[in-house]
Order: sequence, then structure tokens, then C-alpha cells
Amino acid sequence: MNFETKKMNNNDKPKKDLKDLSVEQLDQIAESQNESKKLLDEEIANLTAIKDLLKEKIKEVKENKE
Amino acid sequence: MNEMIIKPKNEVAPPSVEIAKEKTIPISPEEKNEKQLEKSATNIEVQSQKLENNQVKLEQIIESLLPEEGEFVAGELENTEEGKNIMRQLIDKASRLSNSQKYLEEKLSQKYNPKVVKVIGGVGKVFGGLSGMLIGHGILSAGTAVVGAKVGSYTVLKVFEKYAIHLPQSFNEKIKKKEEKEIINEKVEKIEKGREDIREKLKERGKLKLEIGNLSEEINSLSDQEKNKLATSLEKDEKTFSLTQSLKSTYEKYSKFYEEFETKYPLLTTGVEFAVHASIGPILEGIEVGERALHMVELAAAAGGAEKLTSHLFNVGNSIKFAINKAKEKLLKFSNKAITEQTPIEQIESLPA
Repeated sequence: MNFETKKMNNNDKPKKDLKDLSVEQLDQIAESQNESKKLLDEEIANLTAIKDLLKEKIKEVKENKE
Repeated sequence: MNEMIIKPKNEVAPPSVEIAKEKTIPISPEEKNEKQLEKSATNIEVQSQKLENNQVKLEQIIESLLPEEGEFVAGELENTEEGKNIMRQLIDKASRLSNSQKYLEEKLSQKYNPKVVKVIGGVGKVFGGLSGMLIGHGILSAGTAVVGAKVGSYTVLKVFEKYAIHLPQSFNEKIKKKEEKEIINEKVEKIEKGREDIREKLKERGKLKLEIGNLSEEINSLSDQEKNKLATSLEKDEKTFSLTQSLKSTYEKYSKFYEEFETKYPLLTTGVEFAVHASIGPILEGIEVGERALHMVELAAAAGGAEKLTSHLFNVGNSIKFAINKAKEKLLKFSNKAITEQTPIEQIESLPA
């Protein structure tokens, strides 16, 4: 079983109800979720900037040719 | 003819076989636990009833005492050294327990429905009922009787405190204080909203993945001269260096996030599924996007012979790959843990077809 298969199986697995968790566990989930959201935002911002830079440079190169 | 419709004896299973089959029906651990709790609850009820019956019997005995007999018992307790000692110790212990009962009732009322706590505490008064009976005959003072009732209440509340945490979730939910239920609902709503936010961000990143893929194809389709120009332009631009450096830093943060996960969120290690799905899982679904973006810049730099940039990207790339591998290792660990927590049937069902 490779990595991808394991990941998919976990996603498919029925989850427990969040309401069964303690207040403390829910707090930690929310906190870790916020942390991962921040990381995702940062990653998206960086990737967008790199993509835009390259797009701009390719455009410049092509325009110079013409 | 008649002989033909008679069923052969061996077609009917003997009753003993049926009984044996019924006995082998497996019971899940939850069912077993619930049954045990039910048994304990019934036992408590039976014992309480017995105590109540005994109290009634004792009341009858005390009531049947002649006034002079009651006076004799009271006199023995009040006037002899032994009696005084017994009463002193009883009152002293009872007073302390009475205060503890008050504290415990308040403490439990913060967590559980106060009405439930009061009812449970009320059951315990049976244990302290003896002193209540004695007062009617002038053997104990009214104050001591109240203290006695509280002592009984304390004992039962203490048992309740111990067992409440092991009760089935559905039952615990019913007796939980209303405010706590509301708090949980609010927190769950917040987490659901957070999941929705993450889904949106993942869509955005998925879109970026496609765009990055298209740009890579565009770079590949450039002529050698164009590739040289692109590489030179990238190498001259400080932005190229700062942006790739920044991407590296993001992946290092990811790496740190995974490495410190169990230390930072110890309560989530027991709820692996939530940890994986609420935080780690979604991020890793597209973690290679950064690697792709870097590859795209590498491609442009290498094709055009931009040495400084190529060397810089080589270092950044290594750090990103290291961070991604760390993250993968962590997720794999969580995935394995989640899988080992599956029942054998779940494990079989989760195998690829």
C-alpha cells in the first residue's frame, strides 16, 4: 500500500462526531487549524508571486522578440 | 401417501444446537461497557433501596422504644466518656465532610446540570438518614442530623464524580451542564467553518498548480535564445531570489508544524483522525505544488545557463525537498497510526481493490 492509497483510505474512513470531543480537544483542533490556514495563506501568496513573476518575464521575452 | 409428507428427523436441528449458536453472538466492547454500567446503576439502585428499607426498619425500632429506653441511650451517649468520645468524633468528621459535600456539589454543578447533581446528592441523604431518625427521639441534636444527611450526600456525589467520566457519551451529554453543550456547539461550528475555509484555500492552490503546470510547458516551448533571455532576466532580478527564499521559509515552517504537532497539540494524538483531517491532511494533499513552482524556475534558469540562480535554486530546492519529506514522514506516521487503530474488518475493507 503506497502513501497515496493510505491517504485516500483515511479520507474515506468515517469520522467520529466532533461533538464527542472535549472542549480542550476542540480548542486544540481549532488552534492547529488556524496554524495550518496561516501556512496555506503564506504558501499561496508565495506561489502566486513566483507564478506572476515568471509570467511577466516570459511575456517580456516574447514581446522583445516581436 | 402419509409416509411421504413426514419430515425426516434429521432435518430439525436439536434445540441444544440453537442455544449453542445464540451463545456465540459476539458483544462489542461498547455494548459490554454499557451493560456493565447498567448493572452498576441497577446495583446502586438496589443498594439504595435496601438502605431505605433498613432506615424504615430502624425507624420502627426507635419508635417502638419506650421514652425511658430512648432516654437511656441518649444518656449513655451524653454522659459516659465513651459515648462523649463517639459523639465528638462523629460530629468532627461529619462537619468536615459536610463542608466537602458543599464544595463537591458546587464543583460538579459547574460541569453537570445542577439539577442532576442535586438529585444525586439527594439520594445520598439516605445514608445520613440515621441521624435524622435519632433526632426525633432526642438522641441527637438537629444540627448533627443535618450534618449526617450531608455526609451521605457527599459519599454518593463522590461516587458520581468518579463514574460520570466513564459514562457513555450519549448519557454524559444528557447530564452535562447546558452551558457546556452550547460552548461545544459553538466550537464545533467554528471548526466546521475552518474546514470550509481550508477547502476554499485548497481549491485556490489547486488552480495555482494547473497554472504553474501551464507555465512550465510555456518555458519548454521557448526557443534557446528566448530561454537564455529569460534566465538572464531572472538572474538579474533580486525578486527571483527573495521569492524562492520565501517559499523555502514557508516549507520550513510546514516542517516545524509537523515536527512539533504532538508536543503542541497533545490531546489530538488520541484523536488521530481529527488531527489528520482538520490540520495535516488537507495541507499535504498538494504539498508538491511548491516543488513544482521551484522546478519551473529551475527549468528557466538551467535552460538559459543562469549559474548564480541555478546554484541558489539548488540549495533552496534541497531545503524544500527536506521539508516536504519531513512532512510526508509525519503524515505517514499519523496514517499508520490511524490504520493500526482500525479493527481487522476495517483494515481489510480499506485495502485497495
